[in-house]
Amino acid sequence: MNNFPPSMSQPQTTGRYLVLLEDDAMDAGMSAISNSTGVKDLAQSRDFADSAVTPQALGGTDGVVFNELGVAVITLHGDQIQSLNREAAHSPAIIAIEPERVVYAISEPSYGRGMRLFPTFQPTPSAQSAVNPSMDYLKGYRDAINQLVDHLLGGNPQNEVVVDGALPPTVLDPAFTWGLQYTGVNSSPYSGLGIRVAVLDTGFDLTHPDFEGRGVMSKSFIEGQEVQDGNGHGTHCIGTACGPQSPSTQPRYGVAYNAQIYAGKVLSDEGSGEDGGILAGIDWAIANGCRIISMSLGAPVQQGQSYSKVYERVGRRALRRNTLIIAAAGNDSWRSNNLIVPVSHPANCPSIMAVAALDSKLQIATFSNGGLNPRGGQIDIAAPGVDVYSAWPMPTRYNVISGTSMATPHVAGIAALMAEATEASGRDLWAELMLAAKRLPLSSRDVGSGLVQAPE
Amino acid sequence: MTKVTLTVAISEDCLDDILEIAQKLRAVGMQVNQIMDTLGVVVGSSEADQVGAIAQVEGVESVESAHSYHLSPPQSHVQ
Repeated sequence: MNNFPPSMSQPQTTGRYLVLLEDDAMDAGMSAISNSTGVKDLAQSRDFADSAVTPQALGGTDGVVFNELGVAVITLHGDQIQSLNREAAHSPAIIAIEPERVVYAISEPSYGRGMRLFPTFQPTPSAQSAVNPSMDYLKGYRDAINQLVDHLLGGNPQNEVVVDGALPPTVLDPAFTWGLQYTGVNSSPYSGLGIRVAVLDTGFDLTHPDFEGRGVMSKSFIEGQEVQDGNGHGTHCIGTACGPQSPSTQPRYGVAYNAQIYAGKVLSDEGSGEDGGILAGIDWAIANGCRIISMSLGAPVQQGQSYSKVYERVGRRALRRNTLIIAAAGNDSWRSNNLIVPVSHPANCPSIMAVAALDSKLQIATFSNGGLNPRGGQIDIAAPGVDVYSAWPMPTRYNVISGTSMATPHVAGIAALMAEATEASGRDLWAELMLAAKRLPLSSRDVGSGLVQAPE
Repeated sequence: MTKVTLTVAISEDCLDDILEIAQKLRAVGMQVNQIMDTLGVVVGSSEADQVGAIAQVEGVESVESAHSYHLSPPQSHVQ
């Protein structure tokens, strides 16, 4: 279906071309352009005052290279384009070539109805006299978007715009849990290979057949108890984060099936723990080069209560050592009765990623805590956390449970895929997860950046 | 007297001196149980009325009473 006005469905071009150059090969890229097209007169933005290219330069030369962007804008004719395309095919310095599009500036009054996405900018006389292409470009862009919004709202401005992209897949594949499908893990080519993931919890069922041959590293920080999971919570979380590609029975429930598992027991078989054990577990994970620490644990905080300065320091120092700590937001809310409770400690620390839980309709789970407290108390990301199928200590083998505890290892496992795909760690890995998250038509108070997504 | 469990964060510019700082913490009455130099954190306990003196030790950034954590029972649906 094409609802765009004719002028927008077939973008007109300017006769200029945008050439995207490799970041670390700008000079080679410019040489490749000159050699293949004969264009010699390329201005460079860094030669202009404040790197602001003047309109005269854009019109008066064959082209301009925007050094900070790594983009050249060049006027080219048919045979030059062909020649440049041939050059691009074998030159690593040229990444892409595309025609520059005309972006229309539209007079204001005829689009008076409907919503405005951007405020209308009236340049002051001084700004007017210093007008440059980027200002006109931005104005045109704003007008085009405002026009598009007006058009989509059509004759019935009351209609809401439905965000189709946030709807779940209509047909589920029985070979994967719903959580793996909604996060794109089922189709991701990554497996967490070479990435160490620590799960700090109630330990792990080291005899579970689905993990045979995985060489799990483990350590107990609970006095008098072995790593062997006498609770089930830890085994379930490790199952989600790092379970196998082909379990003994379908569906697949684990994300990072090639990650190296570090199982730290910081909660007892009875499900209790103290800061001493948890901090010692974090210390152990960092010292062992774990890129990711998954912590499905927390303690409730009051509204208005500040985060722990000790854990914030720990989160920062972990990030500096290339380790990302991911923690559960907590299950203390009862949204169906209008009760929302703030994000728990330690997920409420700014430098620790807080995870909310979603159900399979991509609605916020009734128990999932919300970003009520300022300064770090927000939700950062959301993940599947209702009716989550994963491993359970033998002989039970599998169990279906709910909680932000179950959402957290989805994010941890996907963080391992992302670390493998992008080679990012620490704050960069955090940013990659935020960039990839699928935005949802829900409040950021409840879901942060949205539904975590695996790298494609 | 009330005994409290404490976590102590060492300030950024004193991380290399964590062992000396732990000694000073002992000197003002803290029983030091763990020194984590990767994290720059000391865990231990003291009498409640000694927390003020512990916070005054040079190189200490913050002192907090330790949290405790409790999962729901394994048979509960929400965990």
